[in-house]
Amino acid sequence: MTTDIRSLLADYASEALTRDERGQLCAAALADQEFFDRLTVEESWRQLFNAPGVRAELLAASEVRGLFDAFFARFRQPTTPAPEDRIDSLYTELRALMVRLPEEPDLEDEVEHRFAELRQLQQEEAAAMRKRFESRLHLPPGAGWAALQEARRQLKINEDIAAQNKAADDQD
Amino acid sequence: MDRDQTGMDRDQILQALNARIVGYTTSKLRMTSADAEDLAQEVLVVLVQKYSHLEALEDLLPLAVTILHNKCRNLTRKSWRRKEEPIAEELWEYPGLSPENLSLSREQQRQLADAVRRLKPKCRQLLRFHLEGQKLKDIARSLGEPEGTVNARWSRCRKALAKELRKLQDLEGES
Repeated sequence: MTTDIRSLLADYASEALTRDERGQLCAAALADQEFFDRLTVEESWRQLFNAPGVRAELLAASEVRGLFDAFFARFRQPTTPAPEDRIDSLYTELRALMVRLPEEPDLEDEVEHRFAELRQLQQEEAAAMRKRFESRLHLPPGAGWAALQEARRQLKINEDIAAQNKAADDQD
Repeated sequence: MDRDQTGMDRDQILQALNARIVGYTTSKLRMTSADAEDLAQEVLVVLVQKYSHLEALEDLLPLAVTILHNKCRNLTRKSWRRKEEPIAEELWEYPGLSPENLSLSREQQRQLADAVRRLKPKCRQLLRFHLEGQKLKDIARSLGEPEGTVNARWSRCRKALAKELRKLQDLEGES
């Protein structure tokens, strides 16, 4: 087995191959029994990695965290990934698909499907952001200005140590 | 590769696939020649009847493997029910979740995620690179290690993951 073919085999399950590369790999498998046997294993992994829902779950679970996070992760319920995590994984998946799309027009439906999911998640995220922003605007009239003035006053006192000392001297 | 590149037409591809499937099932799954021939025929029948529109080798071969795995799995389930020796024990060496099983329940997905979390950090990192669709040479470059080293580690990591997945399947078989 040549290095090139071995390298193609290593990339098969992750769907990183172009159609032409996959063709080369399949031709090699058809010509060589040992290689066919190995490709059957790779095909099995490919199916697993590309099953609906599984990829996102695996991506979320494969994130490498620090020791502290890892400890507390044991007590956390691994449920549906957070929207922002799903958005990240969709970007990753789309990047890989878009590279292959020119050579594999069949992927167009899959790309559309993921774009639709991405758009929906982003719209939901934007709506939540707007809601948070608007809730902060709902202060009682004048309360925001008063808070700002108080913040400025506190800042001035803390910055001007000399002023604090002077106030103490005056009291004495 | 299309027919021009292989120099084979669809019938020739199917014939060659038949030989490879028989070779695989006799050597790896330890089937008798007669059983292997029968199984290969069943796979080809599906390809001929349901997928007559597919001509290219890169479409036919992965599909043939998928059908083969499903059929092997069905045979194993049958033998399990009959309390016979499973014919395709070696299949459990694979990640081996068939398409029907790939519609995992939330509970199975949770178990799968737990299995991944039990892997070593370096394995999880490699898994992530692969799931992101990165090529081996790019992964090796970003890790600053030789391709062979990274590939060998990836192979060990997959064995560890396959072991975890096998536990899920055992649970599924018991339920």
